[in-house]
Amino acid sequence: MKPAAALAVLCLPLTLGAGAAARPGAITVGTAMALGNWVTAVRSHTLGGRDAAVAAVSELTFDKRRELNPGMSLFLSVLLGKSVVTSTDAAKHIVELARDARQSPGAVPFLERAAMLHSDAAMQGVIDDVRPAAPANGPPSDASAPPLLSHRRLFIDKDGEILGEVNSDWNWPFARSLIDLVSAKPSDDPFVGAWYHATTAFMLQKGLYGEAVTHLERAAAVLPDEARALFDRASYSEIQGLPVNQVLLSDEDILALKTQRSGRRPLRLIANHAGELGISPAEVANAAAERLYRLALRMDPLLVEARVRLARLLEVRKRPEEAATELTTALAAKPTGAVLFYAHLFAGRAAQALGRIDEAAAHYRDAAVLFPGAQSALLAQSQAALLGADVPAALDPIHRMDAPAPAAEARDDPWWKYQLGAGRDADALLREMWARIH
Amino acid sequence: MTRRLAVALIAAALLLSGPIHALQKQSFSSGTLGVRVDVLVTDGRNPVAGLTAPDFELRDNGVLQTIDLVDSFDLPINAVLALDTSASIQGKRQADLIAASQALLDGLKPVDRAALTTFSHAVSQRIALTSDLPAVRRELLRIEPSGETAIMDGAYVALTATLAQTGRSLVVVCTDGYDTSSWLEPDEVLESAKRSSAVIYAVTAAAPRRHSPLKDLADATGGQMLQVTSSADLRGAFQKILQDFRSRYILSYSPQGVPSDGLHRLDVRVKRRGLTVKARSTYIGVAPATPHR
Repeated sequence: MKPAAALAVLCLPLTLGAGAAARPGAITVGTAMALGNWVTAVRSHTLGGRDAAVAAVSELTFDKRRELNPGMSLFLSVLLGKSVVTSTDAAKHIVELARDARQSPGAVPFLERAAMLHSDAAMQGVIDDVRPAAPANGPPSDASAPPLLSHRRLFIDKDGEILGEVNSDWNWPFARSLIDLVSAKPSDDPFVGAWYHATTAFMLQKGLYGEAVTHLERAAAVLPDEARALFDRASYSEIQGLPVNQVLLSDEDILALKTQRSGRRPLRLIANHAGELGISPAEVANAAAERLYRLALRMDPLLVEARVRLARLLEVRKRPEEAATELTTALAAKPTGAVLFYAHLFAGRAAQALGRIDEAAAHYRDAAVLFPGAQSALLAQSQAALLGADVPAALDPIHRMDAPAPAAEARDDPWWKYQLGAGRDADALLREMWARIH
Repeated sequence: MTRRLAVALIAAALLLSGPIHALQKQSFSSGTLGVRVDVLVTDGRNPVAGLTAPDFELRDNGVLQTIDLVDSFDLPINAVLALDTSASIQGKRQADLIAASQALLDGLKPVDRAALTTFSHAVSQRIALTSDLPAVRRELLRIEPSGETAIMDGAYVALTATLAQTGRSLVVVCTDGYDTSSWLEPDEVLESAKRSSAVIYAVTAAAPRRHSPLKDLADATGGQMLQVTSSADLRGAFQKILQDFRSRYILSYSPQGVPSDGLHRLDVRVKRRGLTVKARSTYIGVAPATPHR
């Protein structure tokens, strides 16, 4: 058994709210029944599945969660071995439930399964496009709100346009609060790292940037030196700097954000909700991503994708010689698949920037061999040939792109998935995490 | 044949071939590559007709050139449509886009050709340059919007359709959004545009919240970016583009006092006051080839 519980109890007031735990009198029969249903859901949930447990959690309205909250604090206190004094039958029932769970399957396995249930529920909600209900009235919760009762508004966007707002999913902060209790030293717990990496990958795969930002803030706090967590944070920053996010900012937004960062007074209010979107100008996002990729590589020099992505940033930041050096190192590590494709594509662009057109063309050819239908590699080949004034060679890759439009959309081009970061592998990472618990 | 020779010959064909009728003297001579510059002169919003070669001043890398005016009336037009077919185009926008494209095709003559490129995140060269305009019309009706937006990739592929083609090339790029997924960077497409003789017109229905690289492309090739506020205005915009394109002057000259190859800065002016000139600002020259022995 992991030595988690004793120290984790010390975290409890921070994560669950001391007030709720100290007022067992607020626990009602309804609270005890809701808590009992929740325990049943945790115990019965098939990891990664869409089952009755996920449905039960998804149906928890804000009012039901408010009723559940004091019982949850009591339950978790007892689960982690803390002594409590109870006076009502409802509270005593919850204590019994917690003692049973502590005995079997044990505090840590129960917490892990509970965290998985709530992350599964959050992910299923995204897949089904069903958002959790928010309270009918009142402003978004602040940082001191119990995780069960947290709610924020998030922007949703598609292809460069803001489509509207949705409720954040309380399952994520609640799952994180459960993960916080799993281990006294999360950085030493492989499950914690795997959970953050897999769930972040899912968020990036689905473009849940509003959820990802708070997720990664917590990951940074509990796993400050973990290479994958650093990689995920770097990816997030890099993705913010990509056109798919930058186009949400207006020229006025960028000017205002830069003015704010330089410490000067903004000339006008930020337009287009840039502040709420939480998107930094590309230069700022790219600088943060570069720093984080370098930290990730310091922790794990064999993290080849971090090096390849770092090289792309260096090229974007007009340092093609440094980019070329990093890519030489990355290619020497013999990456495969999409990472090798990216390495050749970026090495080609770096070589092109350095005036080495033949070298660029060779890299683009290698990329096109790996993914023969990849539009990006064919366009890169064509453009390099045109720069070399070789019109026939510029036209040949374009002719190889010829395909009816539906087939064109089905091309296997890793560049189209670049903005997913670790989300490219989200499905595999989630399967790996679920297998870890089984 | 060396590659360089091939390129030079293609460039020469691009610039010299076709039924060019000189209004004044024919300036091209054997062994010398001519340069042809498409110029639009407007008075306010209206094209100005009736100008002659002496009305223009053209400087190539700062050196005043002797120019001829070529009659563009019978020169065939290569009209390449590059249409945004990302998911946001669905519905009325799609119908308006197709109607606008049909209107542009209606304005073409039998000697003209058209091509159709569409782009979401995926670029598809649906119809290569053809005089079979009904085929282009039929393909327009097969558009099924989906996906994200790769404007630069789409513009580049459209530009390549004009490479090594005779006649005058017009590329019309139409989008309702911003680029979210191109591999090619705007400066790379700009560099490519300098290597083609096409004039790019951009039509955008996107909310004008950011500077669009399409404007740079249009400016660099002597074209124009038109902003429409509603897709219903696309038809008028497309018709105006063709009308403007037909009203353009074609200046030709053999560069004197400047090296043949490399980047050339062009400065075209009219001597009459109050008129606006739009012409490409640069071109990439190719040195005359020495036949391989």
